[in-house]
Amino acid sequence: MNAPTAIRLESVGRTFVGAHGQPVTALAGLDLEIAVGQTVALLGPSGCGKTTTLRLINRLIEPTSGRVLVGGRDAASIDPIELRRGMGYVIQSGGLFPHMDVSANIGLLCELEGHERARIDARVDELLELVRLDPASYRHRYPGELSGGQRQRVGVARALALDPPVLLMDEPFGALDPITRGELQRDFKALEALVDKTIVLVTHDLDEAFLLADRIAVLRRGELLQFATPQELIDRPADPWLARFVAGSRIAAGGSDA
Amino acid sequence: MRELLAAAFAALSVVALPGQSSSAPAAQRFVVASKNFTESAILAEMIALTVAEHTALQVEHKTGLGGTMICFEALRQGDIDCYPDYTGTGWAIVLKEPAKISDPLRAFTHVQRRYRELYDIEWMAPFGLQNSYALAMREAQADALGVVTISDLVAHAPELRAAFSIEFHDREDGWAGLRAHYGLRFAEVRPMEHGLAYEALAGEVVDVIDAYTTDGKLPRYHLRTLRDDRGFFPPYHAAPLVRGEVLRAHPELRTALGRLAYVLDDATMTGLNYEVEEKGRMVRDVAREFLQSRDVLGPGGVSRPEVTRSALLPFLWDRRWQTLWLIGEHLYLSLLAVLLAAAFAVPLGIAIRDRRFAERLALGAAGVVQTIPSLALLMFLIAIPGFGLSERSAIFALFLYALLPILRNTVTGLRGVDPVLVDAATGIGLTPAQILRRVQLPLAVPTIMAGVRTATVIGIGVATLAAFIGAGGLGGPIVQGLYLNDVNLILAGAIPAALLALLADRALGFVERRLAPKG
Ligand SMILES: Nc1ncnc2c1ncn2[C@@H]1O[C@H](COP(=O)(O)OP(=O)(O)O)[C@@H](O)[C@H]1O
Ligand SMILES: [Mg+2]
Repeated sequence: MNAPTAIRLESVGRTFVGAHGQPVTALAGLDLEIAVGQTVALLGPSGCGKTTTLRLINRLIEPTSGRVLVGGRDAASIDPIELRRGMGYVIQSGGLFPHMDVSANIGLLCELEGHERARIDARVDELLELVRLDPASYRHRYPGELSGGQRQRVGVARALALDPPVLLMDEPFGALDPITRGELQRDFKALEALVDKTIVLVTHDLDEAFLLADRIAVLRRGELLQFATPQELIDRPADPWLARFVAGSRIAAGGSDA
Repeated sequence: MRELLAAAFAALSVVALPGQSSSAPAAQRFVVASKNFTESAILAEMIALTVAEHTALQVEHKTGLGGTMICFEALRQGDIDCYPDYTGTGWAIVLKEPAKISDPLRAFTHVQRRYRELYDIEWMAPFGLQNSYALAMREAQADALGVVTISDLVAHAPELRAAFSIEFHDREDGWAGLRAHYGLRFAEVRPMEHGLAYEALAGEVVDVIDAYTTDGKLPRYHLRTLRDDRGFFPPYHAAPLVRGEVLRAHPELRTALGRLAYVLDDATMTGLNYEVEEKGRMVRDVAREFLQSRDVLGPGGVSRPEVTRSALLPFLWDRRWQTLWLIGEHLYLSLLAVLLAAAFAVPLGIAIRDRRFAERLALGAAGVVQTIPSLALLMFLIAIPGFGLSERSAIFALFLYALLPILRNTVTGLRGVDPVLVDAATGIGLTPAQILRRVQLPLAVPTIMAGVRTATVIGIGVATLAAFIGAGGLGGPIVQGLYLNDVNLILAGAIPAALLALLADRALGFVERRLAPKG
C-alpha cells in the first residue's frame, strides 16, 4: 500500500462565527492523508466536522489554519473552478437542477467544457447505463419526475461526467429509505468505473462506511479520533466510546466480511 | 374634492381640430392650450376656432394642461403657442409683483410690457370679461336689502352670515384684506368648502359667500355678485397670450385674434360657463355658437362634424380607426416604457443580489417613486428642460412606475433560488457567471416575468394619463369625455384601455407559463 497521496490535510483548522458572534471551531488541526484510488469515509456524529472537511477539499470553504494539498499542490494555489472540475461532487439531495432534464444535468459540465453535442450525448448515455438507468426512458425526464434513488443515481452520473480522478460525496444515500439505500450502496460498490478513483465519502452511518470504505476517518468534535481500516476499527478502537459505537454495527456484529 | 378631480381630469384632455396633422411642418402649426377649468377651455376653444377660420394655420387645442405655471412654462419653452390668461394672475403669480394693484388698465399695460421684455410673450387684446374674486348673495335677498356693491353690504353685514372658501378665508388678499378695506363685520364667518358654500347659500344657511365673477353656478342658484366699488380685488381681465416669435412669423394672427377683442363681458361669460358646467353641453359647441352669434365665425363655422350623443355602439364603430390608432399609441407608450424598465431593472436586480444594503436602497428608491401620484410625477417631469410636454416625459414616468415591480421580482426571484442548488453548482465547478446564467436566472424567470406582467398592466393603466401632457393614447378620449361631459367619449377610451390591460395580463401570463422551467 504505497500508493501516492491524492489528498492531504495538514493541521487544517476551521473556525466559524456562530449565530451570536462567538467563534465555533468546526475543525481543530486535522491531519489526514488519502492515497490515490482509496475510498475514505469521514464518519462521526452530526456536527463533528465531516461536511466542513469535505468542503475544504474543493474549496467551498477555506481553512483558517493549516493547508490542503491536492495531488501534491496547495489547493489554495489552484484555480477553484479547475480544482472542482477535477473532483466530482455529490450531495445528499442530489442537487440536480430542476429546470434541466436528466441529460442536460449530466452533460452540463461537458457542455461548459466545450465538448461537441454528439460526444456529450454519447457520454450521457454511457453514464446513464453506468448508474443503471435506461437512457432511452430517462434521458429526457426532469428531476421532479424521478424517485429519490433515481435522482441520486443521476447525481453520481453527473459527478462522473468529466471522469474526474476524485469524487467527493456528502451523505449521498442519507435521504433514501433503507431498501433503496441498500440497493444504491451495493450498486455503487460494484461500479467498475470507481475502482481507480479517490473517493471521500461523508457518512454518519457506520454500516455504510464499513461497506464502502477502504479506510475510515472517525471524527469527534472537530478532531480526528482514529483513521484506520474497518477491520482495525473493530479490533482496536481508539477509545471506549468508539468501541461502543463500532459494536452497534450490523457488519461488525455479523463478522468482518466488509 | 370634486373640483380637484374635475381639475385633474380636465387637465388631461387633448382636443384636436380637424385638419390637424402631426406631420404638418412645425411652423405651420398653432397650438392653443388651456388651463384646467371650464372658462379657460371655452376661451381657448374660441381662440382655436377663430385662428382656424381666419388663418391658414393648422390649429391644435390642448385642453386643460394644468395650472398657470404649467401653461406659462409650456408657452415660454415653445411647446404651445398660445393660451388665455388673466392680468391679475400674470401680475401676482408669474411676475410676482409685490404691490397690490386695482387699476385694470395699469395692470394690463404693466403685464403686457413686462412679458414682452422678459419672455417675448405678447398679451393680445382682452376678451372683455373679468373673472375676479367677488362676494355673492341670493338675488332675492340682495334686492330686498338693496345691495348692489360691497359698500352697500357694510351696513347690513352685522345681521348676515358668511361662508368663505378655505383659500379665500385664509389669504391676506382675501377675507382679511377685504374686511379691513371696507370695514366689513359679519354676524358669523366660517370657512367652508367652495362647492358646499353654494348649497349653504341657496339653502339660506348662510347669506354671503365668495365667488368668481363669471362663475357658471351663479345663474343656477340665482345669485348676485356685488360690485367691488372701492377696488379691493385685483383685476383679472382675460386675454390671449401668444409667443412673440409666432406673431412675427404670422402677423395675420393679430388681425384674427383682434376679432375676439371685447366680444365678452362677465355676464355673457357666466352664461357660457353655465351652459357647459351646469347644462353639460360641450365646450366646442358653446364656443362656436357664441362666435357665430357675434359673426366672428361664419354660420357654418369651421366645418367640423357635429358630435351628437348617439348610441354607444354606433359611436364606437364610427371611431374604430381612430381607436385603433390610439391603441397603437397607447401600446407604444406603455410597452416601450416597460421594455426600458426591464432592460434597466433586471440587470440592476442582478447586480445588487446578495448585497443587502444596495438592495434596500434600490428597492426603497423605486418604492418612493411608486408612491408619487401619477399626475404629480408628470407635472414634475414636464418642468425639466428637455422633457416638457412630450412623449418622452410620459414614457419616462411610465418607466419609473414599471421599475419597482420588475426590480422587486428580479431580486426575490433570484433570492428564491434554493441555496442548495447554488451550492451544488459551485461545487461541481461552475463560475459565478455560469451559475447566474444556467441556474439562477432560468429559475427566476417566472418571477421576473410576473413582475413584467404587473408592470405592463400598471403601465397600460397609467398610460391613460399620458393624454394629460399631450402624449396621446387612450387617455385622450377618456379625459376629453370627462371634461366635455360626454360619456360615449369616456367609454371610447376606457373600454379599449380596460380590454388592453386584460389582454396584456392574459398574454403575458401565457408567456410566463411558456418560459417557466419544466419539471
Ligand atoms: N457556515 C457555518 N457557520 C457557522 N457554523 C458552521 C458553519 N458550517 C458549519 N458550522 C458548524 O461547524 C460544526 C461542524 O459542521 P459540519 O461540518 O457541517 O458537521 P457534520 O459533521 O454534521 O457535517 C457544527 O457545529 C456546525 O454548526
Ligand atoms: Mg454534514
